[in-house]
Amino acid sequence: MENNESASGELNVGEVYKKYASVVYGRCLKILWSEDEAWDATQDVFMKLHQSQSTLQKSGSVLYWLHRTTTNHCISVLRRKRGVAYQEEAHAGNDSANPERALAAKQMLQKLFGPWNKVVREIIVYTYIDGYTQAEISKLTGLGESTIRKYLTKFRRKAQELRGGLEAS
Amino acid sequence: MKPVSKLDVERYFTGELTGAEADQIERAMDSRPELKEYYQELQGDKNVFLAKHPYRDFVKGNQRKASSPLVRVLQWFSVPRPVWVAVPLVLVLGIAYFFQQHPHVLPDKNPGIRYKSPVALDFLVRRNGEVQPGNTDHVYRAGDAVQFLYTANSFKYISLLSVDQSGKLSFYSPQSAASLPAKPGGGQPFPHSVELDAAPGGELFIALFTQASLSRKDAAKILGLPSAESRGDIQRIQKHLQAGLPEETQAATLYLKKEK
Repeated sequence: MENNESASGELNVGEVYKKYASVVYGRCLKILWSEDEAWDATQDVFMKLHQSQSTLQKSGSVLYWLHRTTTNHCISVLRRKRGVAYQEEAHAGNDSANPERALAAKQMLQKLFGPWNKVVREIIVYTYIDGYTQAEISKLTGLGESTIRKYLTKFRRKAQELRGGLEAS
Repeated sequence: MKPVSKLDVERYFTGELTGAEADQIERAMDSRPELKEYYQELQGDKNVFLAKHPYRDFVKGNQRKASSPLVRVLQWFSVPRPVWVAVPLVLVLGIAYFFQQHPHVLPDKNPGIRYKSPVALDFLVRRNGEVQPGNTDHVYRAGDAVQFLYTANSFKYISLLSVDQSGKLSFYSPQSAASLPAKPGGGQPFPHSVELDAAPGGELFIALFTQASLSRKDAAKILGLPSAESRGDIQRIQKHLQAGLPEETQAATLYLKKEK
């Protein structure tokens, strides 16, 4: 953290931006699939960073803090965009090669996210969007690997039920 | 010792790891090409991102977000009326007059020479941690990192090569192949940046776009050279490319001036 701080001990947001912003933006793009939304989300995350310096200093790694904050922020952006917004994006979405696939994936993700709390949603993103191992998720979230396994088992069971329901309908 | 993961590479990339931890990542990248590739991808993404969204844009964006539309309108109208009418008018007229008198100074937006468009080659330059859009009028120096951006359109492969003033041919691809798979879409970053060496004078960078992967020998042939180890003359190579290219091949070049 020392390299990111000014002489007064305050976080130097300019330095942090130069080092981390591309990683944050890449992460936002991976979850939101829209360059404009990813840029907006990146700015929001860095605003949060500026406002949360005390919690950040406790967490040790700026990268881990940014990963978690970005993930939660993007999940809430996705959750806000229910219904009609998805229909609009099917036509203007970034996955121009296959907009139907992009829409289907977003809708599926939305359904899957629905019943879970914030922690589980975060684990779902790390597992299925980032492809992180349980050890990596444990490093990021501070949760034990057995807890992560338990959540993922529950999630997979629910996803199976959802898949069964979709096939039946 | 735990195996190195992509997350560890990200921490190394952002400068969070030092000493023994950083050494471990460097060793892991030497033995695992996928980690090295990921590191280069992060570097390429960073160069592109900072050129597109420099810190000043972030500051401006936040100032806009922080003030409501009403506040912004009031701020604008708080400037005395004669000033907000006269200043832009004088500027526009002045610029128009200048370019009318000096048409030759109009900037060439994309100075790279292209043969049989629509492929393109552009670049960004990182010096002392600052990323700037590339400009072929500038003189660069050893140690400057150049991030090439290409537009391959329907071509499946890109081969990046360069010829310096001494005639030395360099390939920017691993092992014996000259080509790397090209990504669709405009302004794609080449998978890794190129650090300019201390060889004096300018260097011609050539991107060859093809439908099939090229060996280094094939790529040298397209430039009119008998082998990948041959020495080439920059002017002669440019003339050779202008004279014609094999079927389903296109090329784009950039000549970067370097300190002597």
